[in-house]
Amino acid sequence: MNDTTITVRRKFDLTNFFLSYGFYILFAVMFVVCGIISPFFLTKDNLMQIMWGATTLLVVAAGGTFVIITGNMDMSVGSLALCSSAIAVYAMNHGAEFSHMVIIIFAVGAAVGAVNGILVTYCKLNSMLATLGMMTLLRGIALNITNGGAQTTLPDEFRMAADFKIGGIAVLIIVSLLILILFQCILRKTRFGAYCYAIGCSEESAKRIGLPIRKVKMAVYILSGICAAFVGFVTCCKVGTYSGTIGNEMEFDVVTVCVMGGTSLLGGRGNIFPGTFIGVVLLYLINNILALTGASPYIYPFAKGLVIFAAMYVDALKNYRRRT
Amino acid sequence: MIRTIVSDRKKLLDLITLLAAVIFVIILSAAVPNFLSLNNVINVLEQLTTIGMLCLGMTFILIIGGIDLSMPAVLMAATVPGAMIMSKTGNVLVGVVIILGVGIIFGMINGIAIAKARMIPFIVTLSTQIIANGFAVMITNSKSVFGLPDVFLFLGIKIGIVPISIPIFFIIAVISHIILAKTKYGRIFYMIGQNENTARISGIRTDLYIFCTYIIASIYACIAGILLAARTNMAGATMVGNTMLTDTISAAVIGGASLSGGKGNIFGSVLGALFITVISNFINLMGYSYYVGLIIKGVLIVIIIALDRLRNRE
Repeated sequence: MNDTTITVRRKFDLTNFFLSYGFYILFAVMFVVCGIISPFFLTKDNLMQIMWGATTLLVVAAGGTFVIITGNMDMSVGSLALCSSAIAVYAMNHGAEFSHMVIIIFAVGAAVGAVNGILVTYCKLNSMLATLGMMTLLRGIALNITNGGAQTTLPDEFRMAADFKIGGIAVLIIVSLLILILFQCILRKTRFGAYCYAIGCSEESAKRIGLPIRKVKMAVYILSGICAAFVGFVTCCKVGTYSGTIGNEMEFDVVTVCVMGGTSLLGGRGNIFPGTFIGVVLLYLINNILALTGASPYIYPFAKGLVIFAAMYVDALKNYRRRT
Repeated sequence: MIRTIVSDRKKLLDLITLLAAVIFVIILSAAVPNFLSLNNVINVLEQLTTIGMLCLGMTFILIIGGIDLSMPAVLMAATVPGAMIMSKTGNVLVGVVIILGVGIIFGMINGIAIAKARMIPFIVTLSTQIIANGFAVMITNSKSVFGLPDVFLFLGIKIGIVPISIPIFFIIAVISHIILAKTKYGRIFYMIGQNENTARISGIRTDLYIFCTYIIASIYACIAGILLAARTNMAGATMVGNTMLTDTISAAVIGGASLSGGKGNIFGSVLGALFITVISNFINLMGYSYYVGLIIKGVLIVIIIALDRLRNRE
């Protein structure tokens, strides 16, 4: 993993430069091209719109990056977002108020995160399969207690939280960016972050030198669960109603943006702030520019898939060169 | 003999699993009216063909140590253009060739990226899944295709009371079993799954085998798509539900395959697929809602993976 630090490159290698920063270059090029294609793209309103759409995925992907860096996977985030808000809606129907609902949402997130953590650390199940099972289970619970995800109007406070602005920027955007920066600091500047990288590089070695592997993994899964609950909360705020489509297919989006941002699925490599952040923004940028140019909405997923494939291919070429 | 079985923990667990399955079936047939009736058994077997075919392909992939998340999406992306051609021109041959062709192209994309560019299977097939889904949505504009020609629908008819897709599925399963268990190629698949480096050093062209495996998986997805389209007389971008992927992977894992490669067999996978189908059938017969079904399935998947973990513990 760290053999790159030994070789000191004095000569500027153009190919290597392109491969290392290929994803950022792709992003910059797309940004410029979008600006040329549509005059509305670079307006403040439109950029705010992209960020507004990205708030949910930003936070859950930041939590997911922690999980992937430790070499595990959390496929239950989308269903957990749905389930936490569904339980809150269930409580609302039985007389809970706004503050109780918020507490319930985050408590469910933390609790399910802990269950995931126990399955993966103490029962030693394969993280992908176990969380896939949880994904099915949580979606079932959520749809079952809310009559198949029927639309439900939520208290006005949710809508008010979404409309609240500081200096013209919605407070939800600011909060999610702050969370992102906080997580990046945790990852890079604290002992906990270093433990995450160590476990991802080699769990065996981490165990040998006496790191608290189980505690770290549990913490990572609980963090991911809370982030997923945040998605449920924010989606409820944005729309003002609950429906069964919250967090649909989000688990695959999380893995996609993390990997596009340079996080390795094998663990031990990756970062949140430039990497995952740009991955998320790129994903929303594709939809945004297609909408601005008035393309048929049926092309969206196909175009999205092609860009994702290109980004991942560049990432793979980089690793290929590094290995040989 | 019993003593030797009991002393061997692995065999004991196998025995317990088998016993649990038998008890499960007895409980089901006692609790659910019509569960063992001929009609219902045939119904279950007919539903088995789709998930079973996908599961056969997934078994090959898991044995060489990969994973293919794109199979259900490829099923739709391949079946839809073929069905469109067939309903427009009525030419079955061209339609089937297009179905297989599109499927093989997706398999080749997966294969090249994984075997040649050395990308991680999970990532590659995740992005081809998005592409294939998008492709199916794009060319149909999210509308379903109806009116397939009668010659094609022959694959969906019943002879007596047995739908023709059931014998087709079992013949393909037997052929797959023979390939995996009796031929040189089967041995090589297992060898690559257990240790790819060792296989390469022993002179096996691992990249070629991995490439072919992803194409094989896509072909299974295409056959599943053909049988499904013939049975339901339609094709569309929502032909298979979004739980199909989870169901396929869990069926293969229940059947003894491992995500770390080198393990699994066709017989187990067919049983695993049967198990998943029986659960769905049980939920339908008991009149539970789809959502309760999801809960039951989720719990069972976690329990079974835990059991599997127990069985394979060193």
